[in-house]
Amino acid sequence: MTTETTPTPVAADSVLSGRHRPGGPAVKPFRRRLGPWLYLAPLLLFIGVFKVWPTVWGVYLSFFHVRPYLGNEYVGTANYAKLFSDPDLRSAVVHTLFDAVFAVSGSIFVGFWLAVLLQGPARHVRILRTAVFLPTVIAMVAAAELWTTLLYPSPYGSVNSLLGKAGIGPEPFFNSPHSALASVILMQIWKNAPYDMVIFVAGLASIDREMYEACQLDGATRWQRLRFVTLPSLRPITTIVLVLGIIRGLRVFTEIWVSTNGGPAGSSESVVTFLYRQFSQNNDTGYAAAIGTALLVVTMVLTCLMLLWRRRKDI
Amino acid sequence: MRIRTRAGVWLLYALVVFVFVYPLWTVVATVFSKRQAKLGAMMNVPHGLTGANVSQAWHLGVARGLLNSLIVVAVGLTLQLTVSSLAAYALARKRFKGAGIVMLAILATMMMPEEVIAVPLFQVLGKIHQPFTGGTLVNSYGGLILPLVGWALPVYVLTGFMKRVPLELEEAARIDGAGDFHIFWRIVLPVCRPALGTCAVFGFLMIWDQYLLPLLVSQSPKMDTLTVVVTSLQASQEQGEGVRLAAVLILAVPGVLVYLALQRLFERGLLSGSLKG
Amino acid sequence: MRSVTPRTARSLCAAAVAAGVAITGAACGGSSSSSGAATSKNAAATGTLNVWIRGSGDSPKAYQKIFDAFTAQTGIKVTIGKATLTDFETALTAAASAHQLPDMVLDDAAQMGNFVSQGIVLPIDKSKFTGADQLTDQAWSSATDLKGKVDAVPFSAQANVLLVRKDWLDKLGLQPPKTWADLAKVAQAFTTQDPDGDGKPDTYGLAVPGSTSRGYTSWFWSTFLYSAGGDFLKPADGKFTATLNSPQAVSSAQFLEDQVCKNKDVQPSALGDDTTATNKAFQTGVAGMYLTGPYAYATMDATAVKGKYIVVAPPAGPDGTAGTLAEGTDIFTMADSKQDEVTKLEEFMVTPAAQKLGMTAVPSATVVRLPVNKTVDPAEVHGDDPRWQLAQQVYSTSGHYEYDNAPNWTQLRQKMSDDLNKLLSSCGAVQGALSSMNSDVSTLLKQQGVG
Repeated sequence: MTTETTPTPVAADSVLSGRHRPGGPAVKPFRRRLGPWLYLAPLLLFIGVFKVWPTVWGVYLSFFHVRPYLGNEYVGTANYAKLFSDPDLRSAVVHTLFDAVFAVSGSIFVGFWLAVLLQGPARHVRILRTAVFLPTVIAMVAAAELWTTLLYPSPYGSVNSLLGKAGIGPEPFFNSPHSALASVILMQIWKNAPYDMVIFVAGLASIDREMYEACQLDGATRWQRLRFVTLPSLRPITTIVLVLGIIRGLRVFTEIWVSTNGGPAGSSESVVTFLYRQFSQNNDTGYAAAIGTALLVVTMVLTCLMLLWRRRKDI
Repeated sequence: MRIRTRAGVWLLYALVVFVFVYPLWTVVATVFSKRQAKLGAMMNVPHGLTGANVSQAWHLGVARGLLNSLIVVAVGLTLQLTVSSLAAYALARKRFKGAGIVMLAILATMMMPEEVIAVPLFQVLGKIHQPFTGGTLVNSYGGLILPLVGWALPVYVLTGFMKRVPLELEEAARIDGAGDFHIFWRIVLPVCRPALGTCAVFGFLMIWDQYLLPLLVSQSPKMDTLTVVVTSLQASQEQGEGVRLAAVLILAVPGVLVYLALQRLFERGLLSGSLKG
Repeated sequence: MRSVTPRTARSLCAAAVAAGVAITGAACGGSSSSSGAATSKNAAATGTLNVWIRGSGDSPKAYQKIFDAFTAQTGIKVTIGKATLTDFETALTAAASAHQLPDMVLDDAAQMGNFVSQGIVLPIDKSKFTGADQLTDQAWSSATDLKGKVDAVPFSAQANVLLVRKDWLDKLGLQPPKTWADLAKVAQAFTTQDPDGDGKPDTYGLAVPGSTSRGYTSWFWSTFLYSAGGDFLKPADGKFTATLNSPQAVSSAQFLEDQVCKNKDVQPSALGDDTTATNKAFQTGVAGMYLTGPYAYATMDATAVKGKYIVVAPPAGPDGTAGTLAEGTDIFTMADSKQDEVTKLEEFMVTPAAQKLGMTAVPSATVVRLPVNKTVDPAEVHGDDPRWQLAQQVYSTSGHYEYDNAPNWTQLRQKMSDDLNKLLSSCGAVQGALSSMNSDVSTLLKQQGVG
C-alpha cells in the first residue's frame, strides 16, 4: 500500500498502479520506508559479501602482476594493454560470439519445436518431457564423453556410420579445427534445448485459448496462427531466455574445457577457457582478472542495451 | 497446434527419445557392464552384468561426496528460497525508491565469470570466522553453502509471480489487522508455491553442479562434494571407464529425482507468466 | 522489468562505477598479502603434518599406508588435506594467496620450477638429509636447478616403455619394433592387415594421446625427440635456449606427422584424446602399440588386454640413439611449514621400506613406480616381473627428464603442444612449424626471465 506519489512512471501492469490514498501524507513514515529494505537485507548481505566484494577484488587484481605468495606488483593498465593486443584472445572472442549466437539460438529453436511437439497435460507427453529433460541433469564431463564417442571421427563412429549410409564421408567432428567448434555447439544444443523446452511448454500453455478460436473462425492456416498469435505471445519469454542464454553463452567454459580443451589448434577456445588458462597454466592471475573484468563490462553493457531496446519496443 | 497423422507424431516421439535419451542409456549400460565398449563405439547392451563398478565408485569417495552434496543442497536451497522470497516480496509488493537499481544490480552480479571470483571469494571466506568449528568459513559447510544463497534467478521468478498475486487477498488480511510479515508468510507465500517449485528445481541444479567453489573450500577429503570427487575420478588412469561413469551416474540421479518430484509445480510456476517480468 | 526506466538504467551504471571505486579504495588496505602474516594454521593439532597429494581414487589410500607407517615409527601424525587429480595447482594457488599452504605436497616433478618461481617451496639441504646417498644421481639431478640448488625430494621415477599386442604380432608374423623404421612398418601392418581378424578395418597401429590438454601432444613427442638425439632446450649460464628447430627436432616431428597424416596408422581421435581415452584405445583393441609408463601395467591388466601384450624398450632413433621420456613424482617442502617434521617424513619416504610400500601396498595404485632408492630392485619387489626389470633398465640407460627446473615448464610444454597439435591437424610443413614453435618458446623463456 503506497501513500506517496512517485515521479517515475508506474508500470502499466503493476498491481499497485493508481493505488495512492488521496489526501494521505506526502512522506512515508520512516518505519514504512525501512520495511522493504528489511526484506531485501538478507539477499543484499549475501550478494554483497559473496559476490560483489570478490568481484570488486577481482577487478582490483587486474591492475597487478599477481604473485599469490610473494605479494602483488602494481602494473597499472599493462594487463589491459595486453588484452587488446593478444591475437589468441581475439580469436577466442570470435569463437565465443559464434558459440553464444549459434548455441543459444539453436537450443531455443530446438527447444521451441520440442515444446510444440510435447506440450499439453496428457500423460504420455509428460513422460516424454521428463525423459527429454534428462540431458540437462547429466554432468558436463559425461555429456562430453558421450558426444566425443557419438561423433567419433572414424568411419565406424555412430554418427559417421549413419552419414556413411547417406553417402557422406566420415566427418572429423571434434578432431579437426574446422569442425570442432561446430561439434561443441551441437553438444550444447543437445544439453540445453530441453531446458528451454520446459520454459516454452509453460509459455505455450499460458496463451489464451480464445485467440486460437478466433483464428479458427477467421480461417487462418496453422502457419498464420503460429506467426500472428503464438510467436508474439511468446516474445516476452523468448526475450528472457535469449538474454539469459547470451549471458551464459558469453561465459561458456565447462562444455569446451572438458570436450576439446580449446583445441585442436585453439579452434574452439572461448574467452573463459582462455582466461582459465592464463590463471591455471600461465600463473598470470592479473591478466585473467583483466579479461574477466572486460567480460563483465561487456556483459553489463549488452544487457543494459537489451533492456533499453526492450523498453522502447514495449512503449 | 496439432500435427496431422498419429503415425507421424509417434515417429517424431521416437526420434526425440532416440536423440535425447538413448545416449544416456548407453551410460547406464556401460556402468553395469563387465567389459568396456571399443573406443568410439556406444554400448547398447551391457557386456556381462555387474554391479562392481557402482560399489567400487561408492568406496572411492562417492559415498561421502554424496552426503556432503546432499547437506549442502538441502540447507543451501532452503536458505536460497527463503532469502529470495523475502527479497521478492519487497520488490514486487512495495513501491520504494531504488527498486529498479537493486534489480539491475542483482542481475549484474551474475555476470562476472566465476573463475575470476573464485580465488578472491576463497580469501573472503578465509576472513570470516564462524562459531561452529571455531575456524573460518574455509573447509566448513558454511563456506560451501553461504556463497550460493544469493542468486538472481529465483528473485526474478518470484518477483514476477508475486506481482500477480491479487491485491484483494492482501487487502482482506490487512483489514483483519494482519501485519506485513504475516501477510508475507501466510498469504502471499503459499500462493507462490508453484513458483517456489520452479525455483527449487533451478536452485537445486545450480547448487548441485557447483565445482570450483567446493574444490577450493574443501581442505580435506571429508569435505569434498560429489562434483569434486566425480570430476577428479574422470582424470584417473587407475580406474576403468565403468567406475568413472558409475560416479557420473550417481551424480545425475538426485537431479532426476528432484525434477520428477517437482515437475508439476515447476511447470505451473513457469505457467503463470512469472517469466514475463 | 517494466519498473525500470532508461534513466534508472543509466543511473545504475553510474552508481555501479562509483560504488566500485569506493569499495576498491577500501579493499586496497585489506587485500595486500603480507608474507608470514599467518603461518600455517592448517594442522589440526601441534605436530600433525598436513599433506596435499595430486592423485585420486586409490592413490591417497596408498599414501596413507606410508604415512601410517611413519606415524607408527615416529609418533608424528599425518593427515591428507587435499587429494585431487584435476585443478590441483588451482587449489594450491588459492591456498598460497591466503597463506594457508599445507606442510608438504606430492606432485609431478614437472611442477618444480613453477613452485620455486612462486616462492612457495623451501630448498632441500642434501648434506643434512639422512639417506641422501641412497638415492640415484639421476633422481637428484632431476630435482636440482641451474644453480645447483635442490628444490624437491624425488619420490618416484618412471620412463616410457612401449606396449605391443603380442597376439597381433604373432598373427601377422612380425617382430617387436626396435627402430623407428620398424615402428612405422608394424604400425602400418596393424592398420591394414586386420590383426584382430574380424574382417573390419577397425584397427590401428599407434595409440597416441595427442590432445593439448595438460600438454599431452608435446609430452608424447618427447620420446621421439630424445631418441632422435634432440632436446627441447639447452641450458647454459643460468639461461635456456630453445632448440626446437634443430634437425633432430624436425626429423622426429616429421616422423610423427607421417604416422598421423601419411600412413594414418594412429587412432582416428588421436588429436583430441587424452591419456584416459588413449588407454581405452589400447585396452579395447583399437590400437596395437602404446608408448606409456609402467603405471599402465596395472591398468591394462585389469582389462581384456591382460596377458596379450609385451613390453619393449622404445624404438631407437635413426642413428641408433635410445632416448625416452623420464618423469617422476616429487615431495615438496612448502614455505611456512614445520620443517623439522617435514624433513623427517621426507627422509622416511625414500627409505627402502617406504618405497616398497609405495610399490605394493595398493596394487591398483603404484604410487612409487620405479624407486629412487638405488638399493631397491623393482623387478624383485614386483615378484620378478620382467616388465618392471625392463622399465628400470630403460629408465637408467636412456631416461631423459624434462626441464623441471625452468621457471614454468608446464607453460612451455603447453605452448609446444598447441603448436605441435596445430601442425599435426593441418598436416603442414614441419620445418616452418618448428621454427615458429622455436620462436614462441624463446619468447616465453624471455618472459620467464631465463631466455
